Formats: sequence, C-alpha cells, structure tokens
Amino acid sequence: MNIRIVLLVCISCLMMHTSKAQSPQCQLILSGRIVDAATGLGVAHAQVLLREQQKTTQADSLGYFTLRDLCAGNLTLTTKHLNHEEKTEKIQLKTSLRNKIIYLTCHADTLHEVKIKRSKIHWEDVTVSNRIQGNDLFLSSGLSLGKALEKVNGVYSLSTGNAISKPVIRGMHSNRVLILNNGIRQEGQQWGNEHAPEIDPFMAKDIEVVKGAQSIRYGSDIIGGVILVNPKAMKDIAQGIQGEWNTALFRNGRSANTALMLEGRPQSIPGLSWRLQGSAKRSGNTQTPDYFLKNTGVKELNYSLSLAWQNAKQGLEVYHSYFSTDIGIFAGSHIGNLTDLYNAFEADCPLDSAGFSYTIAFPYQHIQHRLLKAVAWRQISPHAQLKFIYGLQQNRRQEFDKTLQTKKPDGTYEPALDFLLVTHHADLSLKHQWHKRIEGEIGLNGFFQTNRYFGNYFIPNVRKLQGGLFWVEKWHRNALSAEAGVRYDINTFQIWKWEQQTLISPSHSFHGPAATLAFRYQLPLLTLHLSMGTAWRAPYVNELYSDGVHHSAASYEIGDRRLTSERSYNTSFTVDINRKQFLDMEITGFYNYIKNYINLQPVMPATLTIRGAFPTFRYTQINALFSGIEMSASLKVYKDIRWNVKGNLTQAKDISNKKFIVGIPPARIETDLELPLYQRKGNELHWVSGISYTFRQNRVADSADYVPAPPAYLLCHTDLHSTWKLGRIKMLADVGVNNLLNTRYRDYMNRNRYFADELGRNVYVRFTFPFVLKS
Amino acid sequence: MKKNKTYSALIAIFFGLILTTTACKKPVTPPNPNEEELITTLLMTFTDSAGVKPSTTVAFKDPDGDGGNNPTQWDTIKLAASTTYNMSLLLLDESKSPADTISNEVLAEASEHLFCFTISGANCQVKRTDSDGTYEIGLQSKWTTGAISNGNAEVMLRHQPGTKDGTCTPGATDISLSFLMQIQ
Repeated sequence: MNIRIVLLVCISCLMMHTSKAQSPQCQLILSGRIVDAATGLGVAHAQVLLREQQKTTQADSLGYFTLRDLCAGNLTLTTKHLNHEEKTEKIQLKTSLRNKIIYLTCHADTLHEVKIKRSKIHWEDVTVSNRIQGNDLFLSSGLSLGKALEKVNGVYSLSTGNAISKPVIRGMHSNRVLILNNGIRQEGQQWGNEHAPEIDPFMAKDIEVVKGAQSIRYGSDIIGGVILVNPKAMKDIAQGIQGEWNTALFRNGRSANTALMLEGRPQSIPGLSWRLQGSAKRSGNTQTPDYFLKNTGVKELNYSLSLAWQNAKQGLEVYHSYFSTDIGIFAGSHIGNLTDLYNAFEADCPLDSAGFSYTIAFPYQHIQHRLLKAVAWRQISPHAQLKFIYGLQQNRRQEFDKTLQTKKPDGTYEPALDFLLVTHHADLSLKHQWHKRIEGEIGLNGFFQTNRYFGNYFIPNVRKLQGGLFWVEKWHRNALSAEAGVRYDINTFQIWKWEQQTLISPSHSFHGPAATLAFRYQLPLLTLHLSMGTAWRAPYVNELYSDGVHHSAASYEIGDRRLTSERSYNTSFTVDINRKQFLDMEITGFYNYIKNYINLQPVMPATLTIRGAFPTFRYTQINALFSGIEMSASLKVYKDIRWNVKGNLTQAKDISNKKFIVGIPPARIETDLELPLYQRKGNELHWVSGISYTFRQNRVADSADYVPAPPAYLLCHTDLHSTWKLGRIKMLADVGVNNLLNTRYRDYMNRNRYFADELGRNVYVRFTFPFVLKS
Repeated sequence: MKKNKTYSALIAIFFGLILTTTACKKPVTPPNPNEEELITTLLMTFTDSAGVKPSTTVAFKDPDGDGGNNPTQWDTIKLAASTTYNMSLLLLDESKSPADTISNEVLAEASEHLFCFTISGANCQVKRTDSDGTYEIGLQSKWTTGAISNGNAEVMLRHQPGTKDGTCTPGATDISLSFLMQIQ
C-alpha cells in the first residue's frame, strides 16, 4: 500500500551491467529504474517507450521497469511522466541491459509545493502519508470512499449497513477526521455516525491519508488525521480530447456503478484545459449468507465540471461538483426502544425480511451535496507563489422515517430530519523559498457556515465564523529534513434553539494555537520519521445541544453546553526499511494523548418516555490516550511473486475513569500473495489471493454495550486483474470474489451488527477503458 | 500584456462571483419543536359491559414529551373482580391547543398498527374487538377480570408498516407503557 518512493542509495547502480553471453536476436531484455535527477528517488508509474520496436511499459511504484523481447540495434528510448520533463535518449542495444538508470528532471510546475527552476529541488515530504492511486485505486472502484480507504493500514470503516461508511483513522472519526475534497474541506453533517462523506469516489485519481496531527495547513481540528481526495491535476491533461470509462458490477446487491470522464486541452487556446465527469450507481437489497437485507438499495448520481487556464506565471481554475444519493436504511434496524433492539439481536434472522428488490422504501436518506470551487494563483517572484481558493458548499440531508409524527395532511411523509448546511471557504496562501534549504507556506483560512433544520429537532440552527493563520517551513540538509508549523484559530458560533416556548440564541467562542514538528532522517536502506504535534477541536453543536432519541441506536443522547475544546498531543515514529525491490517494510508506533476528549458516556437513570425507557448517554469530557502500532511489509518471495502482509492495533483508554473507550476498531491482520501469470508486450495478468483476520474487540467490558462485541472473523478474497494494450490504450480489468467462503460474520464497527449479519459472497467484474477522441 | 489584462478581467469576475454568493442571510428562526406532533397522553376508558360497575379512566401523561420532565400522571388500572369491561383507547397530543387526537391517525393507518396488551400477575383476559379488515387493531378491546389480584398490564403500540401479521413480533415500538393493575 505504501507507494511512497524511496531514496536510491547506491550510485554504483549507475554502472551498466552487461551480460557476457550473446543473446539471440529479439529476445533481449532492457530493465532498470527511473530516478528523479535532483533527489535520486524512484519515479513511480512513468511510461517507457521504444520508438523503433513499438514497445512500451509502465514503471512500478518504485520506478522499476522491464521491457522484454527486444531486438538488437540502435534504439530511441523515451520516458514520460506527469511531473517530469519527457526524456529521449539513444542507446545501442547489443545484449540484455538490466541496470539502466534513467534520470528525469522536474517540470517547471510539479505536484510539489514549491518549485524553483534554478535549484530544481524536489523535497520529499517530511511527514508520513499513505496514498491510493493508479492500480490500487482501480482495485477499489465501485466501493464507497469509506470502504476504499480500508486499503490503508490503520484505517477502518465505521458503517451503518453496507452503503454508509466513513473512515476511522487510528480509532477516530467524524469531526476528528478532516476530508479535503479537491482541496476544499468537506462540510456535511459529519457529526453523525450514519452520515457518510458526500464524495463520488470515481472523481478521485489520488487519495492520500495523513494520520495524526501532521498537516496543520488545513485546520487546527485534525485530531485523527486528514484525507485528501484529489482528481487528476488540470495541468496534467494532455492535448486533444481524451476520456475514460469505468464500470464496476457486483453480484451481491446486483450493483452497477459506471463513470464516464472526458477531458481535453484545445490547441487553439494555449493553457486552457477542461474536464467533464459523471457517475451513476444503482444497487438493490444485499444478501448475507442466509437472507436478504430488506431495503438496503442505493441510488447515486454525481457529476463534476472543471475549467482551468494557466501559463507559467499565473493560473485560474473553476470546479463544480454535484453529488446526490438515496440510501435505503435496513428495515430491521429501525427500532422503537431497547426491547426492540434485544428482540432484533436475538432473532436468528431479521423479523423484517424480504427477497431481492431495487426499491428504496422508508426509512431512507436523501442527500445532495454541491460544491463550487475557484482557485487563482500567481507566481509573484521566482521564489514565491500567491494562491487564493474560494469554496462554496451546500449540503442538504433529509432522513425519511415513516412515523405518525412525519405524516402530512395529504398522506405523504415529511423528512423526520432535514438539514441545510451552507459553507463558504476563503483561503489565501503564500508559498515561498527563503533560502535554498528552506521553503514554506504562510496562509489565512476563513470559514463561514450556516446550518438550518426544517424537520424535527436534533441539532440547532447555527451560524459559525472561523478564521485561522498558519505558517509552515521545511528545512533540508543532506540526509536530514525537518518541518515545523504553527497556527492559530478562532472559532465563534451562535445557535438558535427553542427551549420550552422561548427561542434562545447563545454564542460560543473558542480559540487556540496548534503546532507540529517533524523530522525525517535517511540512512542507507532505512528512513526514520518522527512527528509531534498538538491540535485542538472546539465542541460541535451536537455535543453541546443534542437532546433526543437516536433511533438507530435506541439511546437518548444529551449534549452539554458547558463543554470546552479538546486538545491532542500526538507523537508518531516510523521506520521505513527498503531494500530495492526485495523488501519494503514500514513500522509505525503512535501515541495520542487527548485532554478533555469529548465522549458519549452512559448516565443513570434511563430516560422515561411513552415508548419505554431509553438508556441515556451524555457528552462528557475525559482525558484519553490513543496508542497503537501499524506494520506493513511487501516481500519478493521468488521472481516476481510478492507476499504482502499488514496489521494494526489501536487501543484507547479513558484515563479519567481507568477503562477502555468503546467503539474503537479491533486489531486486524491481512496478508496476500501476488502472482504474475502473464507478462508480455505490456499485457499483464496478475492473480492476488489473500485473507484478512479481524480480532474480537476484547478491550471493552460486555456491559459497556447493549450486546457483546461480535467474535473474530476470517475472510478470504481472490482477484484476477489484467492490463491489456489495445494500440495506445491501456485497459484495466479485473474479476474477483470477496468473502469467498461465504462466511457468516458481524463486524464490531458496523452499527447493523445489532440486527443482521454482514454481506455474504460477492463476485465482481470491473474495467477501466481509457480512450482518445482527438490527439 | 494582453494576457495580464485577460487575467485581471477573470479575477474581477471571480471576485464578483464571490460577493454575490457570500451575500448571506441570517439563519431564520428554527421550527419550534413544541409544534411537532407528540403523543403526550394515553387514556384508557373502561366501561362495564353490563352497565353495573362504575366506569373508570386510566391515564398516562407526559406533557413535555421525551426527556425533560418526568411523566406527570401514571395511574394504576383498578378494575372490579369478575366483570367484563369494554376498553376504549385514546391517544392525545396535549402540547397543542386544542389537543390533537393521535388515535385518529392510528385508525387511519390501522393496517400498519397493532396494540398489544400483556397482563402479568393479575387475573384478567384481554381480547381486541376491532379490525382493520384483516387483523385486529386494539383501539377497542374487552377486558374480563377474575378473582381479586395485583399485577401489571403492559400496553404496547407496534408500528408494522408492510409487515403486520396479527402478532406483536414485527415492527418498531411507538408506545410501551407498563401500568400497575389491581383487581379488587
């Protein structure tokens, strides 16, 4: 999973190794590595072409490539990569060449924050992050963002059924995890456990996860981590008109997902590029090994439009996206009180059962999310770039629940919950390089948000104003690099709420500093990362003012308006071992102390209502300690056969009450074997099979939850994926099975575990078909 | 130079766009949750079918709904021994003025609702006497008491959209109240 490129240590590898034996004609091999000229790091996924013999291949994530079945002669070798200048060189091939090093230099405008033509420095990020892109991203297509992110070690998904899932980073989620959707903070009703991020995963070409409080640029409230979901950069769009068609079909739920993208760069208007993208999804009732889950269908329709213009000195970009979904809520999970919950839990099969259907009935969620983003940047000097980003988001969440209370006189039903959240962002930043060893960024973030509700009360109307100032600098010398950042934020909001017959409108104000410090030290075959940070988060309105029954949880939740902000002190240490292609291993230990952690704790007595007594929970502040380890390794077993293994363990302690915090993901170990079955002329066929074992969450007393944590489970999966070259087009396709053995299990992090089993066997077929309409 | 002009023009349009979109309104007054529909009151009126014993009404009242203050009235069901009563059930929302009769809505959606009565300890048999056409509802019922005894009566309203089968098992709970019961 870890696709970060590694430092090449042996300059001696430059030496071309020439085999002595004379190879027969047209069976020669040219292999080697593509390396960044400035840093000596491998360049991932570059394309290598041999003009004369029309051979092409793509380098792997570490920059290694192999071209087979070559004929002897004078060849023109061209190497292309998005962020680097194209390079062409003549080589004379007499015998197989196995250690060819190709050096690429950076583009004037690269992915990296600061680019200086003279020094051409590409600085490795000091902080540690995990990325899903390219093939890995393809292998998660058709999944929701929350599920796709489970590919990252240490990330779990908090689900409500199969359709709603949100990422949990090192035991934290919702308001403690920030998601940046194409550079804009995603603002939905993220406080709710059953509110998934409103992002179309087909839009993304690169998903990056930064765990802990490492990234201070995006906000002070990054207690758990940041997830950056990005489409392909507009400047990387090639001349002409190209496109891509993606489809993913799943047997379980008879789900169809399809996405179409068109992008181009007209020759007549230099610097202009555009993109249109849309996706649709339809799925019906999903199936456990024994029964169908009634009302678990999903409908989704999304699109996005982008237009950008830029030259060497300045650029403008406008982006608009629309996301809409209807998600059926498993009928058996709607309960009136705790007795209903116990009855549902004890039944062998949900009392409310059905066969297959695409129909989405009550209860269901209807969500729409609109985003408008505009970016303007200008290179004000060779050493400084000024950038302005504006974002407008509108999030409408309606939750329909067929009850007596929501029936209108005309017989139709009003949404039980109905929220409209409107958010404006304005960010101004200056990226600069003071010195050849120091580069950084200073910025201002502004945020204005209003929340209104139209249905039943759950959280009040809110008007929120937030402002922040940050300053981050990176320094680098030989094997050591360091990054330090500080920021200060002010967060003020006013709420409007009825109390008995009076409308109250109190204001709240929070402010405070945040800081990070990170080091990266490069040793031969080993990289060490140390990061430390402190961040804070103001209580959210639901933690302050919620007061009511949570129907999916059969609990009565009470906010506390005296809550103060919580503060985290975060340390993490990573050892990254890299022995070329042979072994890539990463071990991380983290320690996150949170003062005044806002936690939902049970209180006595239960709340009496006409529907019965409800266990009652109140938002309380405790001191908490989150700690854990994450380990991943990829080992070359024999020839091109790779063995991958990863595992993680997180524990969360309530120090104030000397017990464990509930709702923390259990430990998990995953392993798989990757077998190349066929590799010829750019056509490849790989077979991956693996197992994943999730432990039982034992760190919670059985009495702390309505029902004990489900037992440990083992799942098997298998996947056959291929790359096919059709002329200039490279098509990806795969077919596979999840839960191969049709295992009956329940997952601790799925709210539906109270009511039903997880999905049974699921067979899928997926493909990505890029095409060129005009070049 | 020309490009710079284009750029400035684009910047101006862009800021114009922001100014128009940021012209924001104050969040309007939220809907008063006190105007939402609630079931605040449950009334059970027992009438002797022979017309001999006096009629009695048993009430549960929680005027502010869920949470907040505890219920203000939660009567004990007191019935005469060896008597057959007709019981009529009424649900009200007394947070409104005039009070809203929620049981009319239950009747309108009779095919989705079922009242369940469970007696424990007391000598009493309950039989629902009304029907939605297929299954019973329970807004009307017959309570037949036996010898003098004490116990509990649990009154439940099950919401069973699409799953009503005459039993109390399917669906979710709209009402669940346990009354003390005396047969005297």
